[in-house]
Formats: sequence, structure tokens, C-alpha cells
Amino acid sequence: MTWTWTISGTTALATAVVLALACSWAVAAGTRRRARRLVTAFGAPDGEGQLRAAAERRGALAPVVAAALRRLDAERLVALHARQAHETDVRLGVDLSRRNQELIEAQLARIDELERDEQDPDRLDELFELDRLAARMRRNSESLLVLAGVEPRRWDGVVPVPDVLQQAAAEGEHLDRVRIDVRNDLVVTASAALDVTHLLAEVFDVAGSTSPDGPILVTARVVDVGCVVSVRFGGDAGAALSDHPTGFAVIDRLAGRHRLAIDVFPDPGGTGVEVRALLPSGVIERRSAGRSGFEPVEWDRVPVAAGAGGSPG
Amino acid sequence: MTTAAQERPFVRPFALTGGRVTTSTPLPLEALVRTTSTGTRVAPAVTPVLRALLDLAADHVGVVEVAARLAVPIGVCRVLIADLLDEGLVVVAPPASAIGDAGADQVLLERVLDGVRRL
Repeated sequence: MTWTWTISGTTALATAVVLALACSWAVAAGTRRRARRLVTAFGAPDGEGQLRAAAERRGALAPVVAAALRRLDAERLVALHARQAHETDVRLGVDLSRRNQELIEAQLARIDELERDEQDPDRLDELFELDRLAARMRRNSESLLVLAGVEPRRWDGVVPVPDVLQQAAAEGEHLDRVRIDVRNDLVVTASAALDVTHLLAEVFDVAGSTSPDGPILVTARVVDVGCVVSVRFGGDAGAALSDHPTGFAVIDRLAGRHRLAIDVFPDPGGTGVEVRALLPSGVIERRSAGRSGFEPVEWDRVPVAAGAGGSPG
Repeated sequence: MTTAAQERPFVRPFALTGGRVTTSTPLPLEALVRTTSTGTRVAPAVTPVLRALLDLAADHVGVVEVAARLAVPIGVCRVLIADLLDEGLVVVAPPASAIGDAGADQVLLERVLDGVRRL
């Protein structure tokens, strides 16, 4: 019965109706054969056309086929309405997230003003708390937009890789545990800077909740096709993946947008987990020695599979 | 600089110090900062904001001016300078020892302005 694997769930339901009715109603062997042919027709590319033609013809099976087709049409209508309702929900969600974003940006601008001249460490500390909360709220709001397939914000100008990592740590929940040991002259392109930051912040959150204490170690190395950012932390790789469906859904979307490759596996150096993010050469550039700005990276001849560690670019 | 958000640096201020707000060494606002030869040598290997700070302090420069040029809060700037001071990458001189330096006048004026605002 291989045809059952080739047809959709909806069509399978209609097929079952035809089959059940045909078996109970059709007495003649000829009718049963015709029923079997019709059922098989569902799996064919023009199967529905054949069935609609059969429904038009006179015969014992015509009303049965017509009933099944009516049911199929009704299901499609319901599915269409559900899809339209879903699209409306997504639009509303995007609209609300945008409004949230505007409020959070206004909040951050106000916090900036207060922080600028604050000389009292205690008050500055309190402002930092507000700042951190606002930065996390902004990321949550942007996660919704990412999942809805919308670009959250734009940034003009390239951003150094160390700055991207530092901001990603800042947007995460575990800033004090993230140890960044990355010194290189690479920059992330303007169009990818915010998304890469967001993605790494999600990775840092996964790391922080998978490993309840202990450091989150961040290194980077230049390979033949880009730059590999490595995030190591304690805990179990399987749990890291299975316990963070939302985080990885966001990571997946962002990675897909910029063709980043994300791998999660047990840390080869011992107990723990390593998440590797390959930033491909289209996403990063190297600062040029001159004043002219930036130039394409002359990539080191190190293949990706050469293992973690090594010298930074 | 096409969006409002872009007027801010990419990295939030609290991230630059890892959230720290206090310094091991008191650092008056009118103090002048200068990069040491060690600082000049290691500048390419430090984070972008510290590299910019070390470049800026090639000549004596005031704390307030550093904060303004790097677009970071005064409190953050103090922590960054104190860190560099601990590492021996900058030295800090009271303004009296640098009388005649262009930076000193500006720092003094900033200080006066600050005092006037508090009246």
C-alpha cells in the first residue's frame, strides 16, 4: 500500500471515506474494482481530476465520490480560513512588536541621557540594571519579529567582531559569566551585525541555562571559509538542544538569513558542550591596514574541520 | 547615521565594563591621561573601545574629553581608564603638572561649568 505515503493527510482522509463507503456499499466485484481504481487515483498527479470526472458519471460510486470530494472542498475552505486568520495574527503580532520596539528605543535613549553625566557609582549601577533589562526586552521583542520573518532593525556601518560579541553578552542574561577571548581585526558587515549579535546572545542564553554556573568561554579563529566563533560551557549537549526550542528556533531563522552554520556537540576538550557558529566570508571583512576602510579577508588556509582553538585572526 | 538608534554606540555602556561602576583608584575628572609606551605597543590587541582610548590619549587628554570623544558615560570612562592604569597602559597626571597643555584648559572649564550647573 505504498500510495498512502504519497498523498497528503487531507486527501488520505477523503480516501478513507471513499474506501469505507465503497467496501460497505458496493456488492458487485466490478464495483469494488472500480472503487479500488478510484482510491489508487488519489495518489496519481491528476488523481483529483479523475475523481471529479468519476463523480460526474452515473454509477453506484458517483454519489460516494461526490460526497468525499465535497468533504475535501470543505476541509480546504477551513484550512484557508485558518491560514488567513493566522496571517492576521502574525500581522498583529508584528505591529505590536514594532510598537514595543519604539518604546524600548525611547527608553534606551532616556537611559543614555541619565547615564552620560552620572558620577555617582550607586546611581550608575541602578541605571545599568535598567539598561540591561531594556536591552533584554528589546531582544525578546526582536525575537518575535525574527520568527515572523521580519527584519527587526537596521544598522549602518560594519561592527568589529569583538564588539559584536561584547554586545551579544550584554543582551544575554549571563553577562558576568561570559569570558570573551577574541582579538582580531575582523568586522561583521552592516547588514548582518544586528542579526549575528542577536544569534550569539541566544547562544549565550542557552549556554547560561544549560550550565547553571561556571564560565561561558568564547573564542574565534579564522578558517578557509570564514570565521568560527566557538562557545564552550558545562552541561549536556542533548539537553542544550532539547531544552531550548524557542532559542534554537530564533537561532535557526537568523542563521538561515545569513547562511551561518551552527553546530552543537559535546565539547571535545572534556565534559561540556561546544556551540560553533561559522560566520561565512560574505558576512565578515578584515580591516585594511590603510585608511581606506575595509577589504575582503585573505582567509587562512585552515579547514573548518581542523578542530577548536588555534590562533585568532 | 540614518536611524535614531544609530546615534548610540553599538555596544551598550554597561557591557564595556562588564557592569562594573567602581574603580580601584580614585580618578578625578580633571586628571589628564596619557598612553604609555607599553600601551601603544599593545593597542592593536585590546578591544576596539580601549584601542580608541589608547589612541586618543597619545597626548595628554582629560577624562571628560575621552568620555565625549568615545561617546561613553563619564562613569564608564573612569572604569576603563582605571583598568588601563592598573595594567600600566596609561599614566594619569593631575592637571597642575600639565599646565600649558591644551587639554588642561578644557578640563578646567568643564569642571567650572559642572560646578556652575550645580548652583
